[in-house]
Amino acid sequence: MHDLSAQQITLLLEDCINGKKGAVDELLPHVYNELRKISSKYLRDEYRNHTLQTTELVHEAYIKLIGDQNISWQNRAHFFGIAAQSMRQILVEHARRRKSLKRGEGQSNVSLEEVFEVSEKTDDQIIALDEALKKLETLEERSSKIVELRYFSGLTIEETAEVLNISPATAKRDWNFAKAWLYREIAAQ
Amino acid sequence: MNQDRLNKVRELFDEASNLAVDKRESFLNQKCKDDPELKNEIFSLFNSLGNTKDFLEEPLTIVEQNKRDFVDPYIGKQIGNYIIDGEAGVGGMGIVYTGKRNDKEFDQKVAIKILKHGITSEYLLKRFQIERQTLANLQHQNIARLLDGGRTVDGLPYLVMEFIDGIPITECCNQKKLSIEEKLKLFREVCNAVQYAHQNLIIHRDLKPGNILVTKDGIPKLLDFGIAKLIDEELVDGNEGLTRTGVWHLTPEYASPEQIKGEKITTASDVYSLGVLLYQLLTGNQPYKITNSSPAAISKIITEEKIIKPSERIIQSSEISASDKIINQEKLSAHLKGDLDNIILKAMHKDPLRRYVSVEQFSEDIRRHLIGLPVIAQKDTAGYRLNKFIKRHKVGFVSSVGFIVFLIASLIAIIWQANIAAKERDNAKLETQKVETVNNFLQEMLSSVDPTEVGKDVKVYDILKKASIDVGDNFSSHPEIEASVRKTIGVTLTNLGEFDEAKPHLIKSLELNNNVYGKESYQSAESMHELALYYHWIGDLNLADSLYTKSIKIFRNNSDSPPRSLAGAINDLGILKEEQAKYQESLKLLKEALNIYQKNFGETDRDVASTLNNLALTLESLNDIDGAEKYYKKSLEVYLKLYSPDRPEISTIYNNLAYIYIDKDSLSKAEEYFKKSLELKINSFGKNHSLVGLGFMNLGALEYTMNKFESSESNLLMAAENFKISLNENHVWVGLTDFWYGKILIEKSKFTDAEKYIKNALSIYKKNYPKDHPNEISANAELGIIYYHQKKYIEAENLLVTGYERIKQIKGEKDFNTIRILEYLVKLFNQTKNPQKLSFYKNLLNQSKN
Repeated sequence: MHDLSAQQITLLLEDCINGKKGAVDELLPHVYNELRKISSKYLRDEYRNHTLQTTELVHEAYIKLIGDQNISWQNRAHFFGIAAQSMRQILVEHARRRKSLKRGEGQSNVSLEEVFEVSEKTDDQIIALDEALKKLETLEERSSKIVELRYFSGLTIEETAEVLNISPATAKRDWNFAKAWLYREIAAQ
Repeated sequence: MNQDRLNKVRELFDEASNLAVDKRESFLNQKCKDDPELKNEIFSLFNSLGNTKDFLEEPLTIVEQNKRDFVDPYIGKQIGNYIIDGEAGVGGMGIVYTGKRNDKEFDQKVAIKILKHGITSEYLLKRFQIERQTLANLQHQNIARLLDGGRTVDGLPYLVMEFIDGIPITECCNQKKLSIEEKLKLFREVCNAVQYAHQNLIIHRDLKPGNILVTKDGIPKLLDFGIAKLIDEELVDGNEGLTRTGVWHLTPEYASPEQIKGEKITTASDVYSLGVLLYQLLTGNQPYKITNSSPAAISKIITEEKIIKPSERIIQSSEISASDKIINQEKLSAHLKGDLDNIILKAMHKDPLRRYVSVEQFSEDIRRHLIGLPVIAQKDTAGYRLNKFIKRHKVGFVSSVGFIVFLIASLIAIIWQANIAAKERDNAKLETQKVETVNNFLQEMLSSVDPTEVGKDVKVYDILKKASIDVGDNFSSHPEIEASVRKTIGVTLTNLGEFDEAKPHLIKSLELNNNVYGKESYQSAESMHELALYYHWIGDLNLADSLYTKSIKIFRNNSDSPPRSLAGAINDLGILKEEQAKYQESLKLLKEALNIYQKNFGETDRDVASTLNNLALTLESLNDIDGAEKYYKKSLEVYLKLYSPDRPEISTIYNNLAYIYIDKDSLSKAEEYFKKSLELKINSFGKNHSLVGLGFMNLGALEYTMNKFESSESNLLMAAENFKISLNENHVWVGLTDFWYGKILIEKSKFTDAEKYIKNALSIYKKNYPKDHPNEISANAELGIIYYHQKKYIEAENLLVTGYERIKQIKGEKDFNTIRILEYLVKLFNQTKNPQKLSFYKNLLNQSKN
């Protein structure tokens, strides 16, 4: 995969918004790569530990890929929408990796600096949420998507509605249902 | 669970969600009478929902850490009178926490910044405390207050600040989709805050969007004033080396070249950063793309790379956007071109001495742009201001004197005159004293603005401002000098468009000259001439006329009147007569002025050129098209000998030649010349100058006659917008614009609105023109046409019949205006079923058309 210019990324994003076939698949790897680069950069920060919202990570990726230019909030929301999936993927990967590290404590020489942790949530919770989301996906795909957008990419209800092309009221209903359903699902495990 | 079942669950869950909690049970009991399992399913979801509280509500937060189980030692701790309750973010200089006051009396939320470097010497600690005190004294509604500060137990300095709940100014502008004007106004509020701090001798040093938050109420708040300096000193102390001072925790995109180079930082550094910010607010882009973060690369870009003009930057970034966006961006670019480009580039000048002297001046220049006055920031200031001497419309150039040269020369002349007088008079001592007074005044004015500190462009403007205030005090015992100085100031202010400020100086100058030299002296006449020009400029033609006439009479009666003064007044009255449609008088006056100029100054003279242009205009009004063309070309020839071809005078000649092509019926060629001229005018005057409005009006009027109604309408609207800020509401051009716009509305069958515009034009004409001016006749005829459409046949008949007779006299029976009115008369008598009159006008129409 070669790097694309900000212009090319913007065009791809516009294609995604216009529903052009294959555009999302083409854009996704770039967003994923950038997010990975950024998240690992925070691991190398030497002097302090540092909390940040996933939103900030996505925003940074956005600036890197598209630049700091005037672009409508709709476009921005769509970018965040596309990034949500990658963000979830990266965070769950990290949680799993960290879990395996814990298990293999004393054997692995992997530096702890390479690990990052999800704040105040155990890795188990993240993984459990991911599993529950996968189930919800098969039942109500849109509801699971809303959780992904809101929780992993930090979108508001309005932005979520814009990305999924539904009314904010519908998004709100889906969100409510998803929360109830996911909570029950995780509690039952 | 199968899909049907799930759909059912969803449906009932959503419906029940809309109900009050206590109504849900009965609702579900009723709906799930036969299906208790379904009911249980939904109840379990509601139970679950009741437990979710914070579940998933906050987007995921991640923590990376290099020590497992690291808990921030500050959270929950008390620092000074505050308790830290959370982390707000990490900046280059440390971590920012949120906190509250420990005592319950004040429930104020604060931001607590703990700096990451300790203070290691007592000297620095002392400095830190002094600086902190200074910052704490900053009290301004747009500055986040520094409340407290000190050292933590482990020796890290901390600062407690007002917590601001807002978003960065750049985001605010995007979210609210602010217009350029709104952005400029918001930006000026930021300038006020920075200016206030500068007055308190505090430089921000790190102005950037992240430090300028806008609250929900739309109030900008500046954070971290002067904090960068506190950090700097620690860095120095921390052995990081002087040369790197202040740069590496700054956002390099906003750092000035001198900051990058580690040179002395002054208020001009903040001016620069504000310039970058304005660039970004207006174009959506930063001036430089900094991708390589190596110090050498950043340093090279900021200190050496040429800044792309904001208006060009917008065009560049439009390449990637959809086509309608391009149009917007082109509009935006056109708006930025000229004043705003110049303002931003001046603020961002690489040499701090060439920037605005102060944030206040920067902000003032934006204000001037907003209200359509010429701005200080100009590429070629002398040329720009000189343009102001060119008089209006199809009207040529009023005799005028170079701007700076005029100011300096007239002051020198005062000294010189005083010297002569000193030799002649007995009281040489008194005269020497006068010379000294003028000298002192001059020196004081000239030194009040350090020429190395600002460009010479700024100097003149500042000198004037200062001079306006000081002149009364300095010359109270030398009224003749005061008169001269005031005249100079008044004329210059008039030419700068500062009419309100100019008027009292001109009047005072006339009064003083009357007292000193007598009412019949040429000195009084000169003051009177300038006052007449002022009234001419603001559109009070009657008053201007009588003052010109009076001054000319006085000049003629004095044999020592300078010939350029006499010819100048004659020329200007000639222009005025043309505007009043007294063409023969105009012709006579202009020929006389030309004669005086040629006799005294030869053929290649700027006033010869301008008078030739004026003569051509009058000839044109007299329908001597070939004569007019000949004079225009002569005038052009002289100008080209005197000046380079990009001078704005050339744009005026283009404009006037366009009229020639109209008369010769080559309308496309005329349109082309109008556009050429308009483009040059926007370039030289900026888009808010009234001459630019005139350009739009001329173009719109021409396009109307070419039946290009759409572009005509938009150009007339541009003219109207321009005049709203550049002229007073009773100016003839406003009337003319209303007239043409009214005609467009007739074409669009919006007769009620059309009537309003035409009537407004008529009322303005009445204030400016003598009775029965051709423009008034035309407007009355249009009113007749409107009444015809409104079926007010009696009123329509009156106006159309009178209009027809008069327009036929002026334009001839074959002119399309004449024919148009005839056609309406025929329609009218057809409607009112008046066979006699119908056949009469039908005959006339046939004659005209043949």
